[in-house]
Amino acid sequence: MELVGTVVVLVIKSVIFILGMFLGAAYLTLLERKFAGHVQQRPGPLHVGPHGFLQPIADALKVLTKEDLVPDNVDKVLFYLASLMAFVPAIMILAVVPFGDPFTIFGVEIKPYITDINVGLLLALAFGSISIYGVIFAGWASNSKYPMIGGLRKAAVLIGYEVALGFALVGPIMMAGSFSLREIVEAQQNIWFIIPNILAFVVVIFCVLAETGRTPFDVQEAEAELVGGYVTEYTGMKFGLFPLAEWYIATFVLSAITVILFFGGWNPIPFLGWLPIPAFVWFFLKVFLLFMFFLWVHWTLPRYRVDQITELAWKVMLPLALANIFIVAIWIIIFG
Amino acid sequence: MHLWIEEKELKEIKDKFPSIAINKEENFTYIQVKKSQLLEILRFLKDRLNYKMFIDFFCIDFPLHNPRFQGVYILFSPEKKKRVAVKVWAEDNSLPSVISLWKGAKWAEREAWDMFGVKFEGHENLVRMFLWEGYKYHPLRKDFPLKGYEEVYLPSLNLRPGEIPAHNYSPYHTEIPTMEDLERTQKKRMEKRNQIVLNWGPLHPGTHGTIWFLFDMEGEYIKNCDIILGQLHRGVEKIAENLTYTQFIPYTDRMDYISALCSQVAYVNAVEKLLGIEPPEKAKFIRTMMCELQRINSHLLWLGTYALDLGALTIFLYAFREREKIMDIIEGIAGIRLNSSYIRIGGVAKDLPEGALDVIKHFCEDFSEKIKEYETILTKNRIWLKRNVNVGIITEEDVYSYGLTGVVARSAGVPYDIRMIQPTDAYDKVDFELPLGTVGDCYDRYLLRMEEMRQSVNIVRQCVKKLEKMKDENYIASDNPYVLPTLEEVFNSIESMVKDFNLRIYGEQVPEGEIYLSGENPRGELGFYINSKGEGRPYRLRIRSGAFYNLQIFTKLIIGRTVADAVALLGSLDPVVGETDR
Amino acid sequence: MGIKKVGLNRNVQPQTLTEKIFFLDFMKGLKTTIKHLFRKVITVDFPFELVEPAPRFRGVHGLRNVDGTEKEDFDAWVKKLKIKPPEMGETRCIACKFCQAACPVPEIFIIKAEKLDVPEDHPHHGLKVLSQFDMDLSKCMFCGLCTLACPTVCIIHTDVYDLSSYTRRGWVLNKETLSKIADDFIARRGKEKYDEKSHWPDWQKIWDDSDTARAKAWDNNPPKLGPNYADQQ
Repeated sequence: MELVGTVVVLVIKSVIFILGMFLGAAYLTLLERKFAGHVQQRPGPLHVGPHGFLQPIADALKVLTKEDLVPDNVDKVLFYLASLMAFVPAIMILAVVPFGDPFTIFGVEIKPYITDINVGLLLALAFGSISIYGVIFAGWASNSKYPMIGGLRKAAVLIGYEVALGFALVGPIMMAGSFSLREIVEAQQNIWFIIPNILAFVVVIFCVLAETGRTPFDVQEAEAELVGGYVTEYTGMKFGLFPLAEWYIATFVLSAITVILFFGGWNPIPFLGWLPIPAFVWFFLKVFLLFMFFLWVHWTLPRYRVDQITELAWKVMLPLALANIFIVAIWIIIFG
Repeated sequence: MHLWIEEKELKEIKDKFPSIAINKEENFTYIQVKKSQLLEILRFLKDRLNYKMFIDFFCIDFPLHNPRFQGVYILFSPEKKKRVAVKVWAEDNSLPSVISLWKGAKWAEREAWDMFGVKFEGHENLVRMFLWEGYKYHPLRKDFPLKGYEEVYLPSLNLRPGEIPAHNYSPYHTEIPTMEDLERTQKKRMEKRNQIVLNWGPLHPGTHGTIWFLFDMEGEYIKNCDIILGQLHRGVEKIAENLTYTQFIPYTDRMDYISALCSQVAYVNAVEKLLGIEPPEKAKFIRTMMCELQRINSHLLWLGTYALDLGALTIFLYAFREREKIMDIIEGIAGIRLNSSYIRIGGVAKDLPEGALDVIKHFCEDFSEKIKEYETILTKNRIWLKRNVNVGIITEEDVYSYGLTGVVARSAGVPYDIRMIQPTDAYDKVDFELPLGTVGDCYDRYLLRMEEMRQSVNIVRQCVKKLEKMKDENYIASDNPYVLPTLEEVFNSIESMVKDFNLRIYGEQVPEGEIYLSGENPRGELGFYINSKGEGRPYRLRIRSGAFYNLQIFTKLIIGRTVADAVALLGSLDPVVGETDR
Repeated sequence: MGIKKVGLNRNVQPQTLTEKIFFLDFMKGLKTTIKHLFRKVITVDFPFELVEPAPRFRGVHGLRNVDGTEKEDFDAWVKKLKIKPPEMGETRCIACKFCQAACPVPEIFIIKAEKLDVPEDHPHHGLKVLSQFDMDLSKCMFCGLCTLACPTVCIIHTDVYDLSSYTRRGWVLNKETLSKIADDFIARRGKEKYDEKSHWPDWQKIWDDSDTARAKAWDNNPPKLGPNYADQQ
């Protein structure tokens, strides 16, 4: 009986999270377009709905109703599988991200997260690593020169950055003493983990930019060099899933994890704790600010060349991450 | 200023090679040599007398003379700052190739083969430059009609039976290349020796227009490269043989459409020198001011697209914000934003309207801060430095051998600027500095163009100061018999009306002669060679385009680098397809 | 007129160590970009807001009618070319074909004038009237040479720039369409461009400074127009 109850609750929570993420990702596209527009002194979408508010709905309808062209000589299984492989793992990371403390409504205790297993961070890292297969499959299955170059570039980039990311995350784990994301947040009630882990924070910012494929690391679809990169042969919703998964959902989810690890999760900002704002509003505020920071970097900096990216990963990011572990160890010994 | 070779040196050449003929004129001094002695004389000129920079090579067709084709070489000496021309008759329709002396002749000779049918012995890979392999005719010969041979039957695909077609529909068309033709062209240009052959272009968002590159790649590194041009070839040189000199002015600004006014000024300067017309002071200052504004416009477009190709997406829009202002200024003065045909022989078309100088002053003050803005985002950015430093290094030898001009030559340290060597218009009355690079990589070219924008603003300010005092002067030298009179004069006196009528219908009756004169385009040296036989229309008009010769060094510099560097290199060489293909 | 050397160690210093470690180059770039986030928008919301073209703008052609502002020698031209003297509201074109002679692409024009079909004693016997004036705008370069060649200021450039059509036949304008376009333009903006004798006057302004859309395109900081020349202050 209890098992059926837990399963029903899990299913309802998953459905709510997935639908919420879809709608949220759609409106994140609007946020990006407005932000990019105003940085470039132009308004962005303006006419569909007041100030472009209904633009994501129009975009979704357009992408769903476009003609789906599949070229003759592609590898059909991998071609169809690639967009799913890019998209599904990004959403699955949501399964372990907690949004706040458990709270009670009408006497029922609701936990705003799907699961809270004790290796949550490892699971998130694993799902992130699966999603790069989508890009590589897309580049290979398209059976054409430009997508192949794009896909292989992304593979080369991500190998280095996954390793660096793994090492950079060791710092907060050591300070919190556990892999579970909820416990990491609870360990930050006195001091946020960014202060001793500043080097790891820099490494994690670069790794998030590389994984989600934003400038300065967006070599897999550099428009001036490879017309569309790995998405050149895709049309319709299969095409729509790629940027949705990479640029919006993955960025959002990875910013959520960064906030949890470095910025205190749903703990309020020190000195403002007396404000009657619920915990998950603090969480969303911080995640949105970090998302806007990634957008800001995307629309300003030029992009690197592929061999310079891999050089950066192995020669700079990895030593920084290792140095960070060293510093954190000293901090723990001094401050306990 | 006199730029042709001196008497002393002509005597030296005549002493060594007694069988040449010398023709010394103020506008064009040339040596007529025999085909058997051509290479020897050119080597003498290059090594002993130091005429080591290759400017141009082209052919002229004299169908009534035997042999029919005459090849013309134009060379320049950077130390003495003098030019010399060498003419040779192509016996048996062939000439020896000068690739061993100057590598820049490779494409010039391909073009001569394509347009005239002159073969070159010793050329590496003599294929057609602009048209496809398998095309039967040679278009610039005098017996090829202007409209071509309309032989191919191409019925319209959109007409339904019983429908009347549009007024200019004709079912017969000139020849169009098919897919087999294009593949044959591609295979003849370059054979595949490494992993993949990548077709970069002709429809690609990264090449600046429709240029077709062929890369022979191993992984991401390029081992061999060739370029197929001609996707935008419109036959401007053939059209010029059928129009009067004034009617050709709108065509000059459609070649390099981004810096249209500079091309018009270069052409009109050449025609004026041939006719011996001196435009009034006011017209000279207006022309200089508009040229420099157009230079800023062109460099802003270069900056926007260069940054966009390398990933910095916002700078594109910031650069276009400034371009809008310049184009508004040009629209208010000349009439159209892009292809303004504003310059006329003898002056400019209309005077400056009310408020123009205020607007230009306002723009100049505003612009200096905007350059600082672009520099803050880009100049010291480590990503920008990594993408640009030591990419595509050009040496001084390359500049002389390939005939590079403009910013590309100045980045290698060669102070070659036509505005200083042979100043026309008001360039000798304004004060500006010439930026020069040291290393010759893409970063130097970027810094050079930013500095050139600042110098141009300086020149514009000086011109505005001078123009503010010149209210009542003429803007066109309408007393001269070759210059079209202004509208007020046409309506007030009968002689002007008759002159207007004659000039429009019969053309400017230019006396017999030839001239080569060039101007400093933002892209390089744009030179015009005009050969006139005394009629109202030129006999041969050759356009020496800077972007064409600058693009040739791309094939040498890209070997060993990656595709990502190809984008940076192409952007910094800054070709415009309208000018490379004409 | 000197030479100024540019380069990585000449007018731009390489990065110092503090700049590298603290990402100062990125910070400066990011600061510039974020400042633009709070500025006003400079784009013009076409087609709801339109920028009015300058008076000298070379748009679609038009054929002017007689309206009292012809030049002094208009009657002399009419007599010389044996055209029926036009009334108010009839076209000014005298079929002299100067525009076709001046044009680089003469195939654009088809100009015909026919003799009037009147009996022998009519005062207009033997005079011609314009019967066909076709312009194929798909070949036109909008260079303006035809407008500067016309002796009666009949063919003019208006400010219409919308030339879209579904067929090629839509770009061939005949005499009636051209007259209507010119009438409309002269009624709206004739005074900005021409004076009482159809000349281009000295006080012709570069553009209209009350245009708010153009002020927006100038980064919300438009220039103030005054007289051109220093002695007119």
